[in-house]
Amino acid sequence: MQTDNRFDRQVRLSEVFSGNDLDRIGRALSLALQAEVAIVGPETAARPDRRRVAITWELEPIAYLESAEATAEQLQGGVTIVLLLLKEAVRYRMASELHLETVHADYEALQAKHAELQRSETQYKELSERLEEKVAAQVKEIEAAQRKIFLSEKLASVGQLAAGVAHELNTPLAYIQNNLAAARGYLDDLESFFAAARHGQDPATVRDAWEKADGEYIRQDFPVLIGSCLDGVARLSSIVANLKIFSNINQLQQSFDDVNARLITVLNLLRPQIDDRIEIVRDFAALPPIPCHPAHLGQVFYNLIQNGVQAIEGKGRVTIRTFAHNDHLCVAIADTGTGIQEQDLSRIFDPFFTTKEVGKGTGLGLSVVHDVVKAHHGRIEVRSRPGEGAVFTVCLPIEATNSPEEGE
Amino acid sequence: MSQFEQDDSRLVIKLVYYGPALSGKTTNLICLHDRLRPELTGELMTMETKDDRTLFFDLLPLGFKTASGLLVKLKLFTVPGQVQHDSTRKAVLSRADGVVFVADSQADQAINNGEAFQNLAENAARVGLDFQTLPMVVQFNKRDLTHILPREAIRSRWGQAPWPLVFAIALTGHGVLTTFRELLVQVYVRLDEQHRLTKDHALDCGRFVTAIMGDVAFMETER
Repeated sequence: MQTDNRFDRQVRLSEVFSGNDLDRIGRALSLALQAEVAIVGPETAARPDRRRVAITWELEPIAYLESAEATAEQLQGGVTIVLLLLKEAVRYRMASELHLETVHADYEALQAKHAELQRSETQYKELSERLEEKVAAQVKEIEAAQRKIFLSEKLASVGQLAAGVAHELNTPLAYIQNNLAAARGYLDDLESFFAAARHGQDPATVRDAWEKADGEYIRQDFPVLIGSCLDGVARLSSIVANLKIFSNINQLQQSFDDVNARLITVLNLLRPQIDDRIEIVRDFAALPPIPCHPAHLGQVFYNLIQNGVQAIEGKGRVTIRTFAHNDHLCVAIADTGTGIQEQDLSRIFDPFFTTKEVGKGTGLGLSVVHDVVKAHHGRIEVRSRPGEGAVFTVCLPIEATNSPEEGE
Repeated sequence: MSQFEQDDSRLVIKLVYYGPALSGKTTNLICLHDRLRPELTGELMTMETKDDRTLFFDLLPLGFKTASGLLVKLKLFTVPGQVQHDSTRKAVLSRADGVVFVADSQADQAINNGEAFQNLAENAARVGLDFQTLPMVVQFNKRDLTHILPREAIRSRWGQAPWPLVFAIALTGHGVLTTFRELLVQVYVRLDEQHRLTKDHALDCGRFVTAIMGDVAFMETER
């Protein structure tokens, strides 16, 4: 606001009254006083032939009332009337100017506020846009990390699986190798007998060579050796077949799978890790095939049964029960192991949470189980008390709801 | 701000009576109008609504001429105390050379006093006045009423502040002149620094106060 516009400045008469009004006031005063009077500006020089009285406003003369005829008293009376008029006019003028001043100030304040609001709105807009970007980036990161965890858990269990499978393959391989070596020894032993027979020696020499090579024993043992080898080969091919079913190398897509059969495959694969002190009880109901990722489901059962087995110290029992409940197919895996502490129950599905010794567990097994079950739109429940074992129940929808989310 | 105007023949000083609604600011001004005997006095202009509350401001011009020919003009303003007139308060306060804060002594007005004082500090900052150096007097008015805060309570609260504290009954005039004089003394110190009143105009503080207040005897007793 410019200083010369402020409401409390010294006013000039010409600002308060128009020239026309001043003329009218002068004429009215002349008539009332019956003497010719005039209002003249403060710069007007005094004239010797005129009498004049100052019209003083705020301590300063802002005009003069002058006349050639009027008496001093008449002029003073006129000035009083002008002052009274002036007072009202100035009062109105100051009030309106003050009002204008405040309105301007308020308007400017409002505009400043508006500009500030717009600025902050723009800032928030930018922030929210960046926030979306940031969240998207973080989601991506989390997804990548989850994928990594999933993969590493899978690799960990693949490693365990490989160790178990190697052990199982080794046993039949070992005795096939032994048997074949024994068979080759037998053939060496029979070499002189074969030579005598081939060169048409007399029967006494041939019989002699036969008895020398202990031919009768070889004749009885050889079929046993071959039979044992064939057994071993059969076992090898069954292991390979199980492995193939478990991993479903050719079946990464969702398909219908028989859960009972899958459990049997998993149990076969786990056999090397289960020793005699642990009794496995199967209690399977007849169930329809369900839509699923068979390989992932196999992993769920593998992890749960392995956990049950590992929870048992000394003798114990793992019971695997399947049943249908409403629209769901359920698999309950119960063990008589050490159980789970109450404070751990809420955390067992968290990634990297483990109560096993350092190096023994990754803390990922159950979190993978949880993720796979969720991806199948199923649910998993756990009931356990310390010292009384644990029951994990997996329930999966029998009808396809949505296709399970594609995993690794 | 006080300033020489035009040809340096005129020094205009603006003093503002500030405070909560109905604390007696206009009454202070009327009392000054009635009692002061300055060399020059103008029309007291009040702008009241029909229920006696100030709508825009009151204005009392006072002044004198120094021997050197300088017209010293004081314009005494009041602000409207009601909360909703804050923009008007701010406009009236701008360019002030001194402030009297008129507080209401009644016990139930303590919060209003505090809020009005806070408002004064805020508006002073908004219009560019340095609150720390602004000449100011705090007046506790209405000492004649019954349910008022005792002096000790007010002193313990305001005594530490740098501003003179005056108890008053504006209706009878008690403390009004003292308040005004306390303000004039502070204002003079700053004017003298800025405009060399003693040196250039042979105007010392005593003459300054007497020229404005007239030959009034300070016989007031505080209550």
